[in-house]
Amino acid sequence: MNKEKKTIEIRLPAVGEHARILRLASAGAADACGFDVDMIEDVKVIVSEVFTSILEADGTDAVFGFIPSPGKLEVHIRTGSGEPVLKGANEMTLPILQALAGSVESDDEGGLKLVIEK
Amino acid sequence: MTENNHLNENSLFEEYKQTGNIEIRNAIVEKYYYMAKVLANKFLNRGVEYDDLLQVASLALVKAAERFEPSMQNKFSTFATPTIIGEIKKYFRDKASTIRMPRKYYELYPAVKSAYETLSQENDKPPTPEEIADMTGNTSEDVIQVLEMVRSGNITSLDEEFDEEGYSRMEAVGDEDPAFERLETRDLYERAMEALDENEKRVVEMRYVMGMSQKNIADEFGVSQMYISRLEKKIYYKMRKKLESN
Repeated sequence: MNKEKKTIEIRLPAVGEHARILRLASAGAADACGFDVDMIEDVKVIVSEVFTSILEADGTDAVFGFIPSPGKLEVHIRTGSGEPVLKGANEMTLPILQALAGSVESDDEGGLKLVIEK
Repeated sequence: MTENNHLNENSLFEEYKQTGNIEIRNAIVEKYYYMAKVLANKFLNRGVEYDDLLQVASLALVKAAERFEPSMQNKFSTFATPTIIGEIKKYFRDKASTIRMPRKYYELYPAVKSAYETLSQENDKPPTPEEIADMTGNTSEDVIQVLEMVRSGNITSLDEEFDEEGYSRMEAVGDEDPAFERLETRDLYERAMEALDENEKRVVEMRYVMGMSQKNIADEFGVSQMYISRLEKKIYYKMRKKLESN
């Protein structure tokens, strides 16, 4: 079996209604990791939170990459414009992400990497 | 929040720490009550009512206000958010049933299925999730979730075919199904058959009396197996409606 990590990528225009598509896609990715329904719901909250932050900033495209593996989901997020992902974050965004995801890391290019583990 | 606001915020907490005055604590809680509301909102649609979530979040906010150390230089929102989320998640773990989500969708499934059948027949084409959502009073996202769970096997459809002959689980579990038990009563069976036209009656006879497969019936009628499968669902729906009206 090919054990190379595969990224499922979804690019969303800055349209709030598309959050629904993002939530469903993220639920599918989380389900592929074997997460229970509570964790799947947490993942949906996480991606919605980040997407809202991107919409609040400058309405650029948002690119979400999901790397599912047994018991672990990596989510890589960047903006189409290269602006920092959390530029439009409010005071509660980061604490929410930190509370729900095991790990929240920003990279030098403004991207965000989240790791959610069982 | 500006540095000035941060100082004002801290002075309120420092005063509370020094005096233990409940009125000051209540003022803090009132000021940050919006956090409880925002965070309770994030956990909606998981089978727990908003009011219950808000109550848990509010109590957690009070705890956070009591435990916050302004000297630690953190903003209160940074400290309180994980505290409140932690309490909400603990509530889910301790108080709510571990099967609440499947149960939620499991309970939605009959309504979604019924709406699907009704709308399919009314419009002569499969409905959209939005149409089903309108009819059942749910969101289309919920409907999609239910359909997805059916597909993934978390909810098993009784109409789903499980062998190449096209037999459904409904047929396999007939003995335990109340609808089939009722059909065993001749009188009820005949009344149910009144709802069907001649072709439909013929299909029932071929399927359940003669024991023919959907494929064989399809060959007999010169139509596809899929058509017979749909017709069978329609027949089942009409017979059920007829029995329910009795």
